[in-house]
Amino acid sequence: MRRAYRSRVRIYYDILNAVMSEGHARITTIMRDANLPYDRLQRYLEELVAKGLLGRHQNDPTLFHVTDKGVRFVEEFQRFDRLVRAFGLEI
Amino acid sequence: MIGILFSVIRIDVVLELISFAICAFISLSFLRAHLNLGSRVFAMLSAGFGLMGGAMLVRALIVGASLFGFFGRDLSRTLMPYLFQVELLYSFVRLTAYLLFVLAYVLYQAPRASAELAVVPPPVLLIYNPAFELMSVVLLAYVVAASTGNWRRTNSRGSGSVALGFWALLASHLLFALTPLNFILYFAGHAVQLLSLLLILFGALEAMRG
Repeated sequence: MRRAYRSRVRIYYDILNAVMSEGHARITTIMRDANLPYDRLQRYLEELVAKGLLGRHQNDPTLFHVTDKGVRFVEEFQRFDRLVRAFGLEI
Repeated sequence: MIGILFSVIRIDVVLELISFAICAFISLSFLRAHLNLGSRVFAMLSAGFGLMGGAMLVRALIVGASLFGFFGRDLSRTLMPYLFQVELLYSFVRLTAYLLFVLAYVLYQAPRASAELAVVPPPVLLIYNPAFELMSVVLLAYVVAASTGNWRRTNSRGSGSVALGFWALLASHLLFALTPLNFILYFAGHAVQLLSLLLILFGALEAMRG
């Protein structure tokens, strides 16, 4: 059965993955790569920064980077995604 | 005759304790995933395997204590009248675990690209209820179909092992249900149940290794 929405944790992963693939990324790039509208992305970015998974560049607050904690989250997500996909399920 | 059966039947308690350990490991792996990522699919799988394992542990200990006097004769005499209730509880908990698996497959399935009762020894009557086994088979059939479909799509070793594991789990319940036909099927069911959990464990470890 196909779900019409992405889970919150998968959206977190998509955002972090979008930023990681660029090294540093601005909102427009993340919007495109994570496939999210501006208002929703803003909310998720605030959540990720608050959780310490994403950081803002010191000299340019519109530029985001993935923190060490964020990198660990991405690695864990990929590992557990493989696990759950072996069962034919998705996160 | 019954004495010989009692001396043989301890194997099922041992197999069930090993199965419990595997279930506990799988459940804890999913619990860790849930705690790290907060996804409900992991919570459902963790609860499912946890319930399966918990039911196996409680049943193995109580059957061991009451039939074989693992923890002394007094406890054995105290527990004996409650074996049937324990068996009912065990069956309900196992069915609940399978319902959780079905629910996980309904909610989180990955997208697709395209009686001869009179001759049955008394311990078996106490230990297995064919109706519950058949209900388990019906519930597991859905899980088996979904995991096999996933295996055909992905063609990976991990998903293959998981699918075969669920096939074996379903087969174990069929063997338990058919126990009245031949007592050997009861032990075969336990062996196949253990094999099913080993396959699921191997699939999970294989998938996590990447």
